[in-house]
Amino acid sequence: MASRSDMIVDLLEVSEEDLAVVSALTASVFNRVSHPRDTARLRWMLFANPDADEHIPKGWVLRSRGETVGFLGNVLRRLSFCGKDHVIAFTSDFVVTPEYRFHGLKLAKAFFDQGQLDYVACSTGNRNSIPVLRRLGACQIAGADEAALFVLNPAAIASYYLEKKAHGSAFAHAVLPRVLGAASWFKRRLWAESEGSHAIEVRGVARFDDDVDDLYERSHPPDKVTSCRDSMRLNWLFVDGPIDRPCTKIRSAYRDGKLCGYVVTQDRKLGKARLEYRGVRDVFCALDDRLTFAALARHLVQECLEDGMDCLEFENIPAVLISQLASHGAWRRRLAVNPFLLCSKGEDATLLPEKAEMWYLVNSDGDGGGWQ
Amino acid sequence: MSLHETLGEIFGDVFGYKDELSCDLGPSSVAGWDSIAQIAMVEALESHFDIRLTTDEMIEMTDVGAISEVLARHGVQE
Repeated sequence: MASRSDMIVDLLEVSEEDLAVVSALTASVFNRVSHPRDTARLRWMLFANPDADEHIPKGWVLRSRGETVGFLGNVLRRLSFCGKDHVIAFTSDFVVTPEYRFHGLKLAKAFFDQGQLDYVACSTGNRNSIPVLRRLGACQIAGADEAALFVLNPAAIASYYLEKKAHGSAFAHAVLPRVLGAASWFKRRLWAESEGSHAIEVRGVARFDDDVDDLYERSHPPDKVTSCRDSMRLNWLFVDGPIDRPCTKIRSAYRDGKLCGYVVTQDRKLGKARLEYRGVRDVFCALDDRLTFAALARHLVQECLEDGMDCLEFENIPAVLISQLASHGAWRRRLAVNPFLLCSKGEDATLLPEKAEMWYLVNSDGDGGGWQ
Repeated sequence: MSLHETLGEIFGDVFGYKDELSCDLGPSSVAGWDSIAQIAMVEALESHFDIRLTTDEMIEMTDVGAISEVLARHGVQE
C-alpha cells in the first residue's frame, strides 16, 4: 500500500532542458514511438512563440522522486476584442502518467490560476473532464464543434468510417458510398453552376507578407474575439516551424489585385486505408465577404479533385461559414473534440460564448496539436 | 453514521471501493481515483456535509487521512 511519501509530487515550471523528457513521456503514455521532431515542435511552440512572455511560464511539469510524471504546455496567443489587445493562454500536450492521474489537478490549477492574463482557454476530447474544468472556473463555449466535410471519394470515406467504427456491414459498404456520392456530387455541381463569378483570383503563395497585415486590420470584426493574424504570427504558425510540412499550402485570394482572403491547408493520410485527407487549418476573409470565401472554397474543392484527394474538411470556422459550405454540398460533421472552454479573468464570462467562436480564437489548433 | 462509515459509502459510490479504509489509502491504491473521480468525490462530500471545498483543498486530499483533516477544518468530526 502506498504511504503518504509516495504521493509527494512537485509542480515546477518547464524549462527547455525538460522538453526531451516531456516528449518521451508523451510518447510512452500514448504508446507511440518518440521522435526528435516532437521535442522540436514543443520548443517551437512554447519557446519560439512570438507571444511568449519571459514572466509567464511556458508550461509546468510534475515531478515525483526525480522523475517527470506529467506536463501541461502553456501557449500564449494574442487576440483582439473591442479594439483592445489581449493575451490568451491555451493548453497544449496535457499528459500525466496513469499512476499519477490524480495529480493532473495540480497542472490544471496552475494553468487556470494565471491571474495576470485576461483569458485562459482549453478544449478537451474527454467529456468526463468537463466537470473538472467547470470546477476550476472555466465556462463552456457553445456552437464550436462542427466541421464541414466535402466528400470527394465516397467509397474511400465510407471504408474509412466503417473501418474506424469496426461495425461495418456489406449493406453499408454497398449503399453508403452511393448515397453520399449522389447527394454530394449533385450539390457540388449545383454550386459550381450557381456561383460563376471569376472576379476573384486564387493562387498559391510561399509565405505571408505585409498584405495580410492590412487584410487583418481592415477585415477582423471588432465585436468578436479574434486571434491576431498578422504576417509575423502566421509565418511562425504555418511556415517557419521546425516541423517538416511538405504538405502545407497557402492560397491567397485577390480582388482587383488586392488581397481579400487566404486559406491554409495540410494533407494527411488517415487510417489503414491511407485516406487522402486535406484539412483547412485556417481561412480568413471579411466575414460578410461571401464571394471571397466561396471562391477560396471552390478553388480548394477543384484542386482537391485534381490532386486525387478523398476529402476536404473545414474546421474552426464560424457557424455562418459552415452553413455556407453546407449549402454548397459539404456535410456537417460533429467533431469528436468537445466544447471549447474558456475562463475569463476580469471580464463578464457570460458575454463571451457568442463572441468567441473557434475561428476567431484559434487559427490552427492553438496548441499546434493537429500538426503532423 | 460515523465519518469513517460515510467515507466508506462515498468511496463505494465513486470508486466502487468496498474494502476497509485506512488513513494512508490514496490514489495509487484505489483503481480509478484520478482527477476526474476526485471531483466526483469532492462533490459527494460537499453534498453530504453541506460544505464548499476550495481547489487547494481538493488537491490536498491525497489520502483518507488528508480528507479527514480537510473535513475537520470545516467542522466535520469523527
